[in-house]
Amino acid sequence: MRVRTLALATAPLALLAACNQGGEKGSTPGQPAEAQKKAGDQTIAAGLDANGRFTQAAKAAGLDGTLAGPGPYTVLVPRDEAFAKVDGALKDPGNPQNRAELTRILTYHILPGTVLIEDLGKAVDNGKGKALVQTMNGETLTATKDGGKVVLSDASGGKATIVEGDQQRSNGVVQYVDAVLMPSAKGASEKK
Amino acid sequence: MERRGGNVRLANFQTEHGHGGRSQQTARVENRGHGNRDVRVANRGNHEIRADNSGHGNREMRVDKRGGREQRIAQRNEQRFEIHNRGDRDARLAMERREFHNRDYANVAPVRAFNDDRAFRTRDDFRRVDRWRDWNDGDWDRAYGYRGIPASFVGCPPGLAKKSPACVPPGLARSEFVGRALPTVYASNYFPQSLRYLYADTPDYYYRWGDGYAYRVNRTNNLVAALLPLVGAGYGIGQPFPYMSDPYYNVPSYYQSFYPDYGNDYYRYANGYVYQIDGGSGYIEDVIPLLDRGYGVGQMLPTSYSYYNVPYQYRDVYYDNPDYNYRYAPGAIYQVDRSSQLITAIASLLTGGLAVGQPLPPAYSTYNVPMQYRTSYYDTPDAWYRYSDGYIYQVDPTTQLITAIVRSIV
Repeated sequence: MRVRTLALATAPLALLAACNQGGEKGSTPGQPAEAQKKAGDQTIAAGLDANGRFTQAAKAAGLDGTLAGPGPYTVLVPRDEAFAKVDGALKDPGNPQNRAELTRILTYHILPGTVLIEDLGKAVDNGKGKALVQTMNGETLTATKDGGKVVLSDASGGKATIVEGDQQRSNGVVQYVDAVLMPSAKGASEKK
Repeated sequence: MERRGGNVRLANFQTEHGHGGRSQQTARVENRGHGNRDVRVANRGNHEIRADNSGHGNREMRVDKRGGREQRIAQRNEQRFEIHNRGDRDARLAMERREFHNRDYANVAPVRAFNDDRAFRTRDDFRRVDRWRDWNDGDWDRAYGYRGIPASFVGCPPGLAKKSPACVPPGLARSEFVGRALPTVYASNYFPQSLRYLYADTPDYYYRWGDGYAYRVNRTNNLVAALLPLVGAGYGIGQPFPYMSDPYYNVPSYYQSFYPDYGNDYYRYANGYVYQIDGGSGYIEDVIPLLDRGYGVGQMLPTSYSYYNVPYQYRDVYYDNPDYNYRYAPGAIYQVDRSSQLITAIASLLTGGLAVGQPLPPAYSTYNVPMQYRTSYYDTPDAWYRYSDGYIYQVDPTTQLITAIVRSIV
């Protein structure tokens, strides 16, 4: 018993020694120098406003480390004002019970690869006025154009316009939108 | 009675320790060396066999006959046989009661006593049976009860699996954990440093983990104030899935293409996990966690993820090290703390990925190749390029079929 207690007592030392080694591998070897220079060494996570609502929500969901990883990702960051308009998990990101919903909402704002505004515009033109966009949530967004600006629509018809963007980072690109996009109604488990 | 000429004496002494009872037996063999061989077999109560050669040249063998040598041996054999039989019966009963298979193990006194708790099955039962433990689990063994099932879910009646905390009736959970002292074995189960922000100690409370739960403990009296389940799964491998035919438990639409019912394998979904179910028996064969469906950072991966399974293109970046393991499950590569088996970070988000020969999903109509590669891979009337999960794929614009992986860029 004494031995067991001792063994358990040493376990936290190992835990304390462990530090977060979340993959900080921003640049990719072999990438053309010009693009790398433009993107800089800053990752998406480092480039976001640390006190912004999106960053705080990402941290609560454990996605901040992900956005510092290799990617590449395209992140649609809603402006802080937009967060004031939504209810649910985003109101109380710190609550562990909201973490799953928070993750679903945030991954809905992350796209695989690097998508510039121009690319979305081209896709909309090719798709006769609209284009589907894959998200990391697994669901899709619909892109359309409105007065030269790209508008993204979520599953429930909510719209967000890209107001500023094409901020290139070492592991992707950041686009700012004026509204929070909400994924489709909750999964089967929460239907009750 | 002694028989000198035969020089054999078997003595059957009374046991020296009265309370020792018949189970204590002694055989003593003395060879005094008087020329006569003196062999004494005694029953002394401490399993002692002594050979004493005093070197006098006499040989003496004494037989203390209580029914003769043959009878003694027969008696002893019978005794042994009795013991064996008792073990057999116990093991049989144990097998009926608790599906015990290991006779020898079941015959060990502490185990017999342990088997006797007919009234209830403790959640630690499965850890104590060697043959049911996966000894290759390493660290996993400490965090899980039985083959991937967190200890708290082992032996869970179906109706209780959906309760929170799973498996424990709400009333019992309160009486068993909440309001009681934190079990001492969890006292030093600190959360990994990187998860402290999720389970932050306050001046009022601190957090510890154990057996699939986080325990919030009141600092003033050291009593458990709340239980938070760390695993959303209510069911484990080897358990029956009770709602096979209920469409409520179908896999979410996005994941249906990854997990179609095929042959004898069925897939159902509950609480953030997809369950692979054997169609014949209705038993769960595998548990697949889905990120963002009720499960993620700060929780535990099922033990079926005890082996390294990161996609090849990410293996140079995410490899197991002394602090962390990396595991892939649909939607993400997870960083897992080795000591606690808790997910400390989502290393990389992944989509379902594309595959050569398949049509390009409509959602990939937008060009998304990373900036560094745009000078080499740009859309032309003959070829499109799309990025997904570490690869750049080439697509035929006319047929919309993915024709090749042209570059791995992780």
